[in-house]
Parts: sequence; structure tokens; C-alpha cells
Amino acid sequence: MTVMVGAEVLRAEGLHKSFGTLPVLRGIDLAVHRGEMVCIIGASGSGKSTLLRCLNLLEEPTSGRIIFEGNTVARRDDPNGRLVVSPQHPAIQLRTQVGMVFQHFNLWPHMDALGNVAAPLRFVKRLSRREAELMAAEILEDVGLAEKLHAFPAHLSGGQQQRVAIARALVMKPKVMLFDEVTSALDPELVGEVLAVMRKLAAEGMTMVVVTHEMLFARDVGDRIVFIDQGLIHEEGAPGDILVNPVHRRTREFLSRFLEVRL
Amino acid sequence: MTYHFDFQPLATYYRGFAGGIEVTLFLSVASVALAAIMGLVVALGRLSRNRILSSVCGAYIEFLRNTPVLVQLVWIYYCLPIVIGVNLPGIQSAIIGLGLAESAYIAEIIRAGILAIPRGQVEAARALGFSPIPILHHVVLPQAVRIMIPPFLNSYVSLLKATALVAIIAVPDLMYVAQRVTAITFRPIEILTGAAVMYFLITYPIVLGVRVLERRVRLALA
Repeated sequence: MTVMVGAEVLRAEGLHKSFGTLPVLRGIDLAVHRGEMVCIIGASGSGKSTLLRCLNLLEEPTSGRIIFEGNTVARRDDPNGRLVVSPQHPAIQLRTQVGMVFQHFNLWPHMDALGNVAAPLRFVKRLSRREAELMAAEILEDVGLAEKLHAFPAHLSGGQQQRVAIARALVMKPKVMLFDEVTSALDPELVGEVLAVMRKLAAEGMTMVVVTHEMLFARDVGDRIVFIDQGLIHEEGAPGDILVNPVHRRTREFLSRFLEVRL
Repeated sequence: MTYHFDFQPLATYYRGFAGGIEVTLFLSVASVALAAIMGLVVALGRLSRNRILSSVCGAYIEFLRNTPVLVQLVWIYYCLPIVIGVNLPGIQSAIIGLGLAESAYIAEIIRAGILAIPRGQVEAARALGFSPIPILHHVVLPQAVRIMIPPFLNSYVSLLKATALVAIIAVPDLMYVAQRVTAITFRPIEILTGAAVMYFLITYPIVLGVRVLERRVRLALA
């Protein structure tokens, strides 16, 4: 297991997010370093997914900052003020460098696997179709889908669809990958193939932020575990500490409830 | 009944009927083209995050859908010239009237088609750095159009039938010709039955086509 090594890549500072009057994030500070895998755990509704979605600005923070490679990408100091998005680093540019994989894959059903993966290269990076498809085919091979280039999502298993979705994010050569409960919608026997791809990515040094309920995976592959409850980070540290000897009462409660369910 | 049927006038005046059919088809195609353009604009406005724009487009749709097309047609033919000071020939009034009425329905069809695309697909595109126009072009519309075609054609059939209303503003469509021939020959049963059959022969093939398409769309989405 690697200790946190590289420079800081992505940081959230004083992040608040409310939906209407419902506060979901209540002041999150989180820094992600190069090559690190940060696993975010917590109960449903604790704000894990919202945090992840704020990191690439799919959700606009109510207040706080998002800092990418030292540049403030978005800032809102006053909850009623406007979100100030840096003109040099607008959200769209941030998103080309921060990949995201979703719980429900969200593949485009009218394109085959190759078309899905080539699309961002063609329509965001403006590469030619030929070039885009060559690169897409290569990445699909990396995730073990060389045989399925021309299969449409409806003809792929959940695990295969999720691997296509991972390939679609990877093809943009992102500096950080965000994973939002990517195995939660999968049949149990299909979870392994997706985790294997993520394990391989981690071994290759990809910077990853992973919201997950797979505690064993978090323990084995994660560099740092962050426990979120009611919109706040209650505890963070090495997997061995957090998962084995949690200090905070709420972390202990969560983990014990979780282990009961698992057993 | 001692009535003696005589369908001869249908043959005698076949040129008149052919001309009427031509006007009916031209009217329906011209108005549906106008409706498609207006409908797309209004649908996008309705879906806009701008509340004022969305409300204005909503009001447009509701007003046109909840007033009789006959009233709209007659209003455009008789009242619009007074309001804007320009005299419109019957055929142009008819295209504008039918086109606007139809655009309200088309706008709802387009809006429903766009809303039928799961949000997650749009989010995935946004998360990859897609801008709004490429999302519409490459993710939403290719799927939405498939969903829209059957209701669009159904609505076109309704429009085709509604064109018969324009006879009242002296546009020489199929219904107008039928009324004229009736007045000349005093054969309303034969002539109007003949006209009904002609409308049926135009619309029914389209309805059959829609059924085939609907089945295909269902299969494609399954």
C-alpha cells in the first residue's frame, strides 16, 4: 500500500451544498493527491454522492471552493451570490480532466461500445472519427472488451456496460477519476470484474476518488478512507485505522451496522 | 326509399376534385412545415430554465390547444388584416392558422421526446465536457426523434383532416370543391360520401404507416 505521495490535484474547501432548505454538505474540506485512492464511505443520504458531483461541478456548491491543480475553478463565498467560475478554467475544461463513472453506467443506447467511448474524443476534443475510434478500441481492450467493440449497451451485461463507461471516461486521459457507487447496481457476480479494472487503474497510479460500499475493496486498495455523516467528514485516515479501529462513535456505529448487514 | 343514386358527378368533376386534393395536400404540408419550426422553437423555450420564457411558451401552447381551430382560422382571415393592416389571401391565412394551431401540438411532442431521454445520459455527457449543443445533437435528438415520429405523424393526420375547415374562408380545398359540386348538382349524399372516401384514402395509409413505425420504435426501445 502506498502512502500519499504526489502533489495535491483536487481540493474542496469549505464546501456547502443545500437543495432548497435541505443542507446536504455542511462544510467539507478534502484534498486529493496525485496517485492516491481516496475512498468515501457513509450511510445513504450522508452526502457522499453530492460531494463527488460538486468536485466536477455537476452540482453547483452553495458556498466554498473547488481547486484543481492549484487554480480556483469555482468559488462562491456568499450562499446567495453567484457561483464564480474561473474564466481560465471553466467547468467544461475541468470536466475534460476529471472523469466520472456513475452507478447506473449512463451509456448512450444508440451507440455501440466503440461509439460510446469514441464520442467524447470526437465531440469534445474534435478528433477525427478514425483517430477517435482507434484510441477508443485500445482503451476498450485494456478493460477486457476487445470482443465487444460493436455491441450495443442493451446487449452487454451490467459489468460490461460499467467497464465501457470506465473506458469512456479514461479515453479523455483524465488526471482524476471519480467513481460514484459504480458497483451498487450490479448483480453480485459481476462486481468483481469492475473492481478488477479499478484495482488495475490504482496500480497504474491513477488518482481516484471512490464512493463505495465495498469495504473489503476500500481496505485492500484504498490509500485513505473518508467517513462522511450528515454532510460532514467525521473521520479520515489509513484504511487499517478507520476500518479496524474507528475513533469516532458514528464511524463505529456505521461500520458495525454495515458489518451486520454484510454477514 | 326511392332515391336514385347517381355517382356520375364525381367523374364529371374529377378535375375539380383533383385540384381540391392538391390544395388539401399542399396546405397540410406547408402548415406542418411551419408547425415543425415553430414547435421546435416553442418546445426549447418551454424547456428553458428561464422562467419567463418558459411561461410565455406554456401560455402559447395552452391558448392554441384550448381554442377551436375554426375560430383561429376565421380570426386570422378576418381580424388579423384589421390588426396589422395587411390583407392576407385565404391560402396564406389558412397556412398560418393551421400551422400555428398545429405548432402547439408539435411543441408538446418535441418536449415529451426530449424529456423521455433519461437525465443520466445527459449528465454523463456533461461530465465528459460536452457543451449543450453537442449534447442535443449527439445524445438527445438522435434518440428523441425516433420517439417523436409516430406521434408527429398522428398529429399530421389530424391536421390533414382539419384542413377541411379552410373551405369556410374560401380556400379551394377538397371540401370546398365538394360543396361547390353539391351546389351545382344537388347530389349531397354522393358527393359528400365521395369526399369522405377521398379523405380516408389519403389518411388511412399514413395511419397504417404509423402503426408499423410505432412497433419498430417499441422494439428499438425494448
